[in-house]
Amino acid sequence: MTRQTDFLIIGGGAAGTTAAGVIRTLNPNAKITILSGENYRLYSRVLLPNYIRGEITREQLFLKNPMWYRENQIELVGNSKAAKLIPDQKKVELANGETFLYKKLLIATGASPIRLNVPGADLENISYMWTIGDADTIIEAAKTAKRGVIIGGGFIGLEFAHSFKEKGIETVILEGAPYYWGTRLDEKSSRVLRNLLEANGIKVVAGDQVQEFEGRTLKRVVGTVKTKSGKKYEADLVGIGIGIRNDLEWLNDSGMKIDGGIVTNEYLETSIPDVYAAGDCVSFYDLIIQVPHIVGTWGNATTQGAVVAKTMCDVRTAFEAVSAYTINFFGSSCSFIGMTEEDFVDEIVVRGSVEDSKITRIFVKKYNSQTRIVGATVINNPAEVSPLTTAVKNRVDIASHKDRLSDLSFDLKQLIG
Amino acid sequence: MWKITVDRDLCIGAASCVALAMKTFALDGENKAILLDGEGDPPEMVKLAAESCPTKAIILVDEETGEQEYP
Repeated sequence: MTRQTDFLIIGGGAAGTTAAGVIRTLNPNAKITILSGENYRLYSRVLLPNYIRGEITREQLFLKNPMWYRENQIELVGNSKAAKLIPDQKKVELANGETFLYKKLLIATGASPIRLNVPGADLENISYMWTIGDADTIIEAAKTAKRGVIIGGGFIGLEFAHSFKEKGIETVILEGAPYYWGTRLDEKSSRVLRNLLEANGIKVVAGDQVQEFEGRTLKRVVGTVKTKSGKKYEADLVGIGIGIRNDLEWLNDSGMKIDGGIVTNEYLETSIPDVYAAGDCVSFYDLIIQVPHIVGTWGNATTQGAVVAKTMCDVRTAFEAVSAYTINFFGSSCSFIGMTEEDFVDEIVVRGSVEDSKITRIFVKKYNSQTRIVGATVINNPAEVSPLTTAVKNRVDIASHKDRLSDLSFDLKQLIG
Repeated sequence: MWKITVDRDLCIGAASCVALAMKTFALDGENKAILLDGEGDPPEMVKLAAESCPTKAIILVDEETGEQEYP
C-alpha cells in the first residue's frame, strides 16, 4: 500500500516527536506522520533506570498521552522499520512492504546499543537497558537474581550498577579498557568513580573482556560469564553498556552522505533536498566547535527536533547548542559537556584530585587568536557544569584565566563575567 | 499565563529546558534548573521547554484557572 503525507518523520523518539509538535504549531493543516520502530508513544529513556528501581510507574515513563497525538493530528505508525529511501520519487519503503510518499522527510532514527557478539549472547536475562521491553526484562529477572555482571564502564553501566545495588544484587563490572571507563575518562577521573563504586560494594575488574556466556543447565538463561583471561563469574542477570551505533544501512543506496552519522550542515539539512536529520543519528556541523559532531543526549535530540522543524517549515534556523549530560548515582554526579575528545584539543586542564573525590577536566583549544573551552568532564562538581557550559556556548576567550583554571580556589563563574 | 515550578527532586540537569528557553530557565550550583526573573521567552517556547524535560520536572499551572496544564 502507498500512503501520502506532507511531513514524514522516521523515528518516534525525542527528536522526531518534538519536531512533529513544532511543525504542527507552524503549519496547522499539513499532514504529519511519524513512523516509529517501537510500538509506543514517546517515552523517556532517561527514566528507564527510575522505572527499573521502582521509583516511578510504567505509565509515568510516557511523555505524551494518546490525546496529544489526536489533538495535534499527528499520525503515529508503530512497528515501522524504514528499509529504503528513494529520493527521486520522494518515497520511503518500509520493511513490511508499505510505502510512504513525502513532501519533506525527517530522519530521526536515533541510535541503538552495540550488541556483544560472543557465544551465548542470545541467552535470556542479558539486557541492554534501551527500551521499555528491556526494562521489563530486567525488572522480572531482578526479582530472583542474586548475582549480576555488568559489561562496560559508562553511563549505561553506571545506571545498571545503581539499579543492581538497589535490588540487592551482588555485582561485578567488567571493563575491557585498562581502567574503568577508560574509553572516555583519564585515569584519575576513573579512579574517583571506581572508588565510589567499590565503596558501594560493587567490584570493578578492568582490562578483561567477555569470552562467552554460559547458560544454566537445561535452560536458556544466563548462568556464567567467562572472560578472555579465563576467569568465571556467576550471573543471574547481565547488563551490557558498551556504546551505541547508528543503524543507517537502509540508506546505503540512497546517495545520502554518511560519516559516522547522517551528515548535515548547521541547519540539519542532509545532502539530499527536502530530507533533514536530527538527534543521535546525525553528524551535524557544530557552529560552536566548528567541526562535524555526533551527540547522543536527550537535550540535543529535543533541541534539534525543535530547530529542524522550523527549517522544514521554511523558517530556516541554524542549530547552535552545547550538549551536556549528567548522571547522578550513589549521591555523586558525573557530567560530560560539549566536545571531550582528547585528540581534538590542544590542552586538558585538570581541577581537583582523587583525594578530593572531585575532578573536572577542561578541554581547551586554540582558534586563531582565541583560546577557548570546547568541553569538559565534571565529576562531583555540579556547580561547575553551568559556567563551563556557558563558557563553551559563548566562545569565551579564556587566555587571561588559563593559568588559574587548575586552581580550585578560582571560581569558574569568573570565566563568564 | 503560567505559574512555572521546577521539581528539584526530579530535575537531573539534562538542560533541554535551558536550550529551548534560555531566558526562562538556567542551571544553578547543584546543576538543577531554576527560574529566571522576567518573561523573556514566548509562551510556546516555555511550553515546549516543559514538554522537553525527560523527567517531567517542569510544572505549568494556568494562573487564571489554577489548573495544571503540564504534565
